[in-house]
Amino acid sequence: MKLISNICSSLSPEFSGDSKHREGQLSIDGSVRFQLLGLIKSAIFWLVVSILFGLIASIKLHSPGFLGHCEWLTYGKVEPVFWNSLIYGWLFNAGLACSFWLLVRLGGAPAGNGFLLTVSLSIWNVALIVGLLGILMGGMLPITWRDSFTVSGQLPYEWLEMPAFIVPVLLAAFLGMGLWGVLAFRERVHRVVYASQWYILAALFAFAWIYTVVQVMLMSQPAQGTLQYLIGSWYANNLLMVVIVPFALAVVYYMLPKVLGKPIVGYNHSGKAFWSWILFASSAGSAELLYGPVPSWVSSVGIIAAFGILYPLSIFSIQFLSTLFASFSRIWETISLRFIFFGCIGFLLFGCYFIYGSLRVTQDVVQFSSFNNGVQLLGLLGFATMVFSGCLYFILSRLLNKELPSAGLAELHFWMQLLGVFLVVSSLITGGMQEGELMNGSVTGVLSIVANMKSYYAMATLGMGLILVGAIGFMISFSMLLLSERSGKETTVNLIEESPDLEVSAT
Amino acid sequence: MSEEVPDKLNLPGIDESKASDESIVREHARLRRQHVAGSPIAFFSSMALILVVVFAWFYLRRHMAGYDAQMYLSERGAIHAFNTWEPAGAGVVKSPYELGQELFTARCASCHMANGEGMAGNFPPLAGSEWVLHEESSLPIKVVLAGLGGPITVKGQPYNGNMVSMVADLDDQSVANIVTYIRQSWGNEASEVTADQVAAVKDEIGSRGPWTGPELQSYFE
Repeated sequence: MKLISNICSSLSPEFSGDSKHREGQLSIDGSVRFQLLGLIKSAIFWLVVSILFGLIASIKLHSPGFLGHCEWLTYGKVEPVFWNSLIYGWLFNAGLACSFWLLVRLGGAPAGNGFLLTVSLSIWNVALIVGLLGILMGGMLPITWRDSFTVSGQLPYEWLEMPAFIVPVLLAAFLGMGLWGVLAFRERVHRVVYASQWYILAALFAFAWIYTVVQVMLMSQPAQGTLQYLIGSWYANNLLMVVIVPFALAVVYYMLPKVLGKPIVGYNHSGKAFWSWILFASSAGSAELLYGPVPSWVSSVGIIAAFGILYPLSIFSIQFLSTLFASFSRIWETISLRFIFFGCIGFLLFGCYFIYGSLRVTQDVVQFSSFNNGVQLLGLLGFATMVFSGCLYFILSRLLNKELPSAGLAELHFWMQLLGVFLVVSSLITGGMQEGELMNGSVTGVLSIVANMKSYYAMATLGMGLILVGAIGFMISFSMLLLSERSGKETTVNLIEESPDLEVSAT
Repeated sequence: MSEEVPDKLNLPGIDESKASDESIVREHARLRRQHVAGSPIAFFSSMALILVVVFAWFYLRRHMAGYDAQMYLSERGAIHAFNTWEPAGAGVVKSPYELGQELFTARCASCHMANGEGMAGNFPPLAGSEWVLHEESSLPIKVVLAGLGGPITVKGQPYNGNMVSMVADLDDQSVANIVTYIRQSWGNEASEVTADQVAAVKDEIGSRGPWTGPELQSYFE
C-alpha cells in the first residue's frame, strides 16, 4: 500500500510553497509527466533486455555450446533480438522521452494531446514485444507481406528482422508519437527555434519516411532483386545517422548550455552543420555495398557521401569540445554532463571511424569482419546511449521533483557503462581489423585465424557484462526514484532552484 | 583536507540548471544573427569542406565507371584489363592432328588408353590395328561415327565389347580430326582423313546403331 501511494505521489505530486518561475516549469513538466515516465520505464526495461541478449550473443561467439540446447536462443535469433531491442526498445523510447521533454521545455508551453501519446507509446512497446517474440519463435522466412500473416519469422534485412506483420503496427504507433511531437512543437510560445528542435523534427520526419518506404518497398509491394538490398542498407544507415544520431545531437545541443550556463561556441555555424549532416549522412548507406551486386558507381557515391561527413563533423567537434573544455571542472560535478562529455567523445570517434571504415582501402580489409559492428555500437552505445542516460538523470529529478536516491548507484552506472562500451567497441574494432589483415595477407589457416578472434570476443563479453551491471544499476536507481517516499524538502517547489539566464559575454 | 574528499566524490542529488530554457532559445537566436569574422570554427570547417570537395573530385574521376549500370569494376586499370581481356592462347592455330588429340583424350582414351594399346581382353588396341590402318579410310570413319559391337578379331585376338558412338555432337571436321589422330599416332602411318570424306560416309550410312563384325567383314576379304 505504501508503494502504491508512493507511485501515485510520483505520478501526480502536490507541492507546497510558491515560486512563480518554478510553477511555469512544473506545469510544463506535469503536462507530460505520465507519458514521459511511460517512455522512460520502457526504455530502461529494453536497455536491460537488449544488453542481456547482447551478452548471450557475445558469449556464443567464443563458446558456441553456451545455451546450445535451447531452440529459442540460437545465435541467429539472439543477435537480431539484441540489435532490435537496443534500437527500437532502448534508443527509441529514451530518445523520444528526451526529445519530447526538450520540445515542451524549449517551446515553453504545456503540451496537450496526452492521450494520443499514451496510446501510441503503449502500442509501440506492445508491438515490439510481439515482434521480438516473433524473432525468437523463428519459423520460415516470410517473403511477402501477406505470407507473414500465416508464417512468423525473421526478415533478412539488417535491423528489420522483426516479422513483417508487425511493421505496419509499429509504423502507425510511431506516426502517433511523431504527430504528438509536431503538435507539441506547434503549440510553443517561444517562437524562435533552437538547434535541438531542428534535429528532433528532422528525426521524427525521417523515421516516418524511411519506415514507410520499408513498409511499401520491402513488405507490401516488395522491390525485386538487388534493389531490396539497396533499400535495406539505405534504411539501416538512415536509421542510425538521420534518426538516432539527431535525437542524441538534440540532447547535446540542449544540455551543454543548460548545465554549463554558457552558450554553444560558434553556434552561428549550426545551420551549415545541420544541413550538411542531413545531406551527407543520409546518402552514405550504399558505401557498405562495395563489391556487392550493385553498379560500381552506386557504392562510390556512398563513399563520397561518407567522406563528406568530415565537414559537419569538424563543426560539431569544435562546437562541443570548445564549449565543454571551457568549463571542464563542471563536467565532473554533474552526473548528466559526465555521460554527455563521453558521449561527445564517442560521437567524434564514431564519425572518424565511419569515414575511415567506408573507404575502399579499409573495406578491402575489414568488410565482413566485426569492425562494422564495432563502429555501429560506438554510435549506438558510445554516443546515443551515453547521451540519453545523462539526459534521463537530468529529466527524472525534474519530472518527479526528487533527488537521486543514491549518487553511488549513478556513479556505478556511469563507470560500468563507460568501461563496458570501451571494451566492447575497442575489441570489436581492433579484432575486426586484425581478422581482416590475417585473412587477406597470411598463409595461416582460416581456423586458426578464427580461433585468434576468441580473445577479442571474450573481451567484448566482459564489456557487455559491465554494461549490464550498469544498466541494472540504472534500473534500480529509476525504481527507487519512482517508489521512494517523498521526503520533506521534495514536497516543495523550491527543491530545484530557479535557473538564471544564460551567461553571455558582452559584445 | 581529508574532510573535503568525500564531498568531491559525491554527486549532488540534482544537477543544477545554469540557464533557463527561455534564455537558451533567446540568446542562441541572437548569436545566430550575429556575424562573427574569422573564428577558428569557420577556418577549420572551411578546410574540411575543401578537403571533402577535393576528395569527391578525384574520387568521381577515378571510381564512377562512367555511371555504367552494367559495370561492377571501378578502377580504371581494372576496367582496361577487363575490356582488353583475351583467353589464354587465343590466336594460336592448332593442326587437325592436335585438335584430334584433344578430342581423343576427352572421349576415347578412357577405354583405348592414351597410348592406344587398349586393355587386353576388354578393349581392342588402336596402335597397329588393321581396322584403323585399313587403306580405305571409310572403315575407321564408319566405326567412329556409329560404334561397333559384338565379337570381332583385332591383331589376331578376339574381342566381344560394345562401343557406342561417342561423336554424335561433333561436326564433320572434328570427327575427321579424331580419325586422323588415331591413324597417325603410336607408330600408325595411314592417310589423313578430311571432313568431306566424313560427310560422304555420313550420307552413305545415315543414322544407325553400332556396327557388328560380320557387317564390316567385306573390308577384310
